[in-house]
Amino acid sequence: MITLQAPVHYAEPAYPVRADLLADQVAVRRVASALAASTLTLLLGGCGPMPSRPEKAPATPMTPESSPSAAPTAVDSYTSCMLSALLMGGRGFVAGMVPTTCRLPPTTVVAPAQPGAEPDSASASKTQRKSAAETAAR
Amino acid sequence: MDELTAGAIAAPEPPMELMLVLTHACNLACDYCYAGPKDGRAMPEAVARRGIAWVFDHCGGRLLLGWFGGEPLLRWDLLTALHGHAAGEARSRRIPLSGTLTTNATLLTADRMAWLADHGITVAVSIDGDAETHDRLRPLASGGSSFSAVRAGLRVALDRQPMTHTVSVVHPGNVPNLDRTVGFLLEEGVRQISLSPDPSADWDSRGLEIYREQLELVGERWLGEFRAGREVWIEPLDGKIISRVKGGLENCDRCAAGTRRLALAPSGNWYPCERMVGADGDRERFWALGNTLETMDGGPDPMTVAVLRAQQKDVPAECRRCPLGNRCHYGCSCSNVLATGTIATPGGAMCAAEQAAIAVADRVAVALWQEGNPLFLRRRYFLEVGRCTRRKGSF
Repeated sequence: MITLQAPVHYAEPAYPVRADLLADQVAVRRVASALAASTLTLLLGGCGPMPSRPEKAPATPMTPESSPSAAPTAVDSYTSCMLSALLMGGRGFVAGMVPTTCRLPPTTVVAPAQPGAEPDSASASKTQRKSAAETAAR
Repeated sequence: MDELTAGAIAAPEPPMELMLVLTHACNLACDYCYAGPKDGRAMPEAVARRGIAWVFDHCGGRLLLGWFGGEPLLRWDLLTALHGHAAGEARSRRIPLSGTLTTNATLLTADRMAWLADHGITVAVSIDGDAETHDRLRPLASGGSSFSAVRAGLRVALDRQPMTHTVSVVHPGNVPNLDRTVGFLLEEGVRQISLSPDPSADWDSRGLEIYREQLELVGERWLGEFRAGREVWIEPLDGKIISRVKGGLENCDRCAAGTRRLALAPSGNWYPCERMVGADGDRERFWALGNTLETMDGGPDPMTVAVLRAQQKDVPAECRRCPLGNRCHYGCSCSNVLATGTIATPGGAMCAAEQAAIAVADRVAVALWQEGNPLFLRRRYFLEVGRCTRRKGSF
């Protein structure tokens, strides 16, 4: 019979809690650089071949130079929506729960970000805040 | 940068969820099914309408209707009629309504899928993997393979809703094929995959060891997808990663059985969760919260609900002390009932499965964090994470 048993050895995992990351401006700048580099790669490379993973994980985590980049895919759009639903509205990470607000046709094309444009999460934040403000006002 | 670092916003309260068991009948005979005999008891429309009316009165502003069974598509007529009725109520009350359908997809046609999509109903398809794996435990009730019909239905669903979600039950009888299952589903184009260990199964330590080994392989597939710039959501890994990113599960992430989540059986009995309806017989009625046809307002009996909530708080000391407690779903009422017969005590196998999931999730997340994987950073860190809120007047 299998019984309840707490782990004997437990160490905090080596990836940060979001709030801690956002509180560390140096870390945020490093991450933002990595994301900016990724966006630049997209703009220069268009939808070229998918980048491959780095040969070896960098010794120092999160240096922009060592960050792989990702090309946009049609999947990006609906997964963004899906995860937004999960993280913002749907929540409830109980196994079996699904977000229910995203239905995008399979042909959705994701336009690459323009230079100087806000990251998609930022514009989403604005929309969310506006929506929350409107709700509050009502 | 300021936009990125802006604090979390208060997201809308999660919707109240009413799961309607349309029928006990099913055209499959899954080995591990917890739903009891597949008789023809179906939801009388008057029962459903009374239950729906009550949840509209108590949902606090948002409602999700889940269509469940048996196999709910056996009662397509009832599903469309009741959803149409609920949609009308939602419009008149100005309450946002969404829907989910949990189905084996054997009866899912393009026309039906179009109707579901047009009515805002997302689909979750139960499929255990490739033909050999799937048919091992999910044969037709009439005997023989259900795989080709299920696969055809899944493709119909994916054509219309690319984010169609699949649910694969993980059982000692199919766990050696778990990684193969995920590989198959990814090849089919599924991007949201739930691997759901069967809490009622007779797990032994070897079976759990295989589960852990297979989950490690699934983790490698997950890594491969992210490294190739293709996002995928695989439960239980992604849920565990998010539980870390959020700094621990909040109340709104935890089991809401009997609070924000209710199920209604064809008999009119209210249950805390659809997985607790089972055969709706003497054994299951122990957990029933009253009958919609018998209570004054048509809702669950408040005293019974209060007792249930008190029982749910009786968490075992092992779980209270566990360092993984803030990331573990030890409070999943239906899993606990299926495993131990009690609502607050999880089974040992589920405890081991949760620990395995957290270990693998952390390993793969650390890898992407250290690589600075942009997809991982964007999708797991730079989306706003809403705080739990509770609207006044909700159930």
